[in-house]
Amino acid sequence: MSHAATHDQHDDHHGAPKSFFQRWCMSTNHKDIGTLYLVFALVMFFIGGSFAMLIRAELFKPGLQLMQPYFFNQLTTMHALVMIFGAIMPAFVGLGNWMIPLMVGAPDMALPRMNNLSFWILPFAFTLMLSTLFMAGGGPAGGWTMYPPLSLQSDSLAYVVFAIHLMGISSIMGAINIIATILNMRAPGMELLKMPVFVWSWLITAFLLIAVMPVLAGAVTMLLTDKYFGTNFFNPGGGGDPVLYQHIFWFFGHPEVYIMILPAFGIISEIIPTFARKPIFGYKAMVFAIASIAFLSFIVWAHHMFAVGLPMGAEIFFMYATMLIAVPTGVKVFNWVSTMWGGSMTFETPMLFAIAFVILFTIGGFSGLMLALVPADFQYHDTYFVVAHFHYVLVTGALFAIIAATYYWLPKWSGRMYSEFWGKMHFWNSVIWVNVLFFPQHFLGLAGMPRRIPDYNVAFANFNMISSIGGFLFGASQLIFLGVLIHGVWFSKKKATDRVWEGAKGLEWTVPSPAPHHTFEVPPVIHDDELAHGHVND
Amino acid sequence: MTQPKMQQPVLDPSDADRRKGVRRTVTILVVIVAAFFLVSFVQIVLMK
Repeated sequence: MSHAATHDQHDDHHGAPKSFFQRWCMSTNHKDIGTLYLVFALVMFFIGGSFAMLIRAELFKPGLQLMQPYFFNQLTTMHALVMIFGAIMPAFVGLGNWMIPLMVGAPDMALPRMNNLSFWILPFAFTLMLSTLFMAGGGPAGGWTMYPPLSLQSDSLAYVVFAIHLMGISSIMGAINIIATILNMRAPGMELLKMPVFVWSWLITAFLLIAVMPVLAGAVTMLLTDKYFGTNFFNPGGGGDPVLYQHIFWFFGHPEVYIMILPAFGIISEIIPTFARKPIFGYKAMVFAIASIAFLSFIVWAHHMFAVGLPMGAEIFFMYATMLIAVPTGVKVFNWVSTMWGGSMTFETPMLFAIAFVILFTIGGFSGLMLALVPADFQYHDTYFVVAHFHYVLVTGALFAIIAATYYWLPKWSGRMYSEFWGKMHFWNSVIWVNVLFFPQHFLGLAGMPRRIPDYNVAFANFNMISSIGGFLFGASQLIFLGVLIHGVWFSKKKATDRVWEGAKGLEWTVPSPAPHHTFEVPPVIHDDELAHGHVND
Repeated sequence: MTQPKMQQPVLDPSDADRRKGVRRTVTILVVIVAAFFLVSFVQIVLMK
């Protein structure tokens, strides 16, 4: 592969505007906007995490400890909204912004100014949403799903709906940008079926975003008109139906779950081959599995609402359709394990998080299969079993993949190696305490403890206390992550090489570390040998 | 890997094709999104 022909050498940021305002507020550079997204996601992660700490503190013992139930409801609602829309999604967009142009040999995103707008909408949206916590009447308290009639009781509904509209606009613009970049900006020779799996995962995710964000916008607008404009979409008293909201919401909501996991699949598919020093096993199968999962995500939404009283035929259809997702997901897990099989593996921090992802995400997937069973779901529905399930998928799944990606690409971004010792400290603390935090919640759920309740029966006391201790320590472990990041970006003495990892392949590793402000202004000449997936047709 | 010295960017002949492709992709996607929003809006108006 040819070098990336750039103006820059290793140690500078030639071309970046000198003024802080110009560089960060007016930026059209994919790397700077990617950094903005990642920093924003990190801030939101700690805000959402502090809500989680308060929730676990309240649940440390039976009885009301620290807060009134209404505030507890606000915390559970805000924790989810902040983590989903503020931390996980922007983190993936940030990673996409940084890495997609580098991986496909493009000089920047296809629509750089829109890229800036997509990001800068977000701080306003979240300031608006978080500000409701300080208003008379408080923030939204009906859960992130905002089911009516409960959500309609909140005085802050209009603020939250407006904030969600802003986030939706940001996501749609981001998705259009990513699709336009991948389809049009690839370097000559970077055929679709030679693209890194991460790029593929983002291409498919972007289509999901475009398909479902307008649905969410429609659903929350109907909530708004029901509350303020006298409509009765969801009010049985006026001929409406609250179950309609659940159908519309989950038609958005289930693909949304995959929006939060497909890029994670892509990340893991980059990291495992690097540290196993083998090409990924079954590249095409991995791509088609992601596409299959994305397709299936549109026909499984009602598994979130088995308990509302669906017709038997519908319940059976949604049960089997949901179970079908295990097939492409199983293909992915099999291929990750097969990639590691016989590889010359080393266990640097990104690989540790990737392996933890494979194991723990699989646990979350299996509890998902249990929830897919209609008769079993009647028992599990709205219990802590569900909370345990989706936290295994979203924390040890999506979040672990984001952390793995950060360790994997940080040297490329900053030009410095992070501390491997403290990275491993972060890993072991995270992986131990996250299981102490969430595994007991399976038992609580199976024993019947309902979710979103600030008080509980004394029979649930022990597991809740264990879970809270795990929660506090998992939260504290993330301070190690913060420390590793600060050290790795500004203070580490160890310079990163261009390739950074011995087994790393792909265009992003051909540019200097730190990646210059402008890369691939002249499209690189691509040789298949140097691509991670250069010989897929052989 | 050694990097080249300062190198002038050359005009990329495929640049015009890229621009055209981006415009076409964005047009199609914006039409899809607008159609989704329009359908949602019409549905909301009809159902109220």
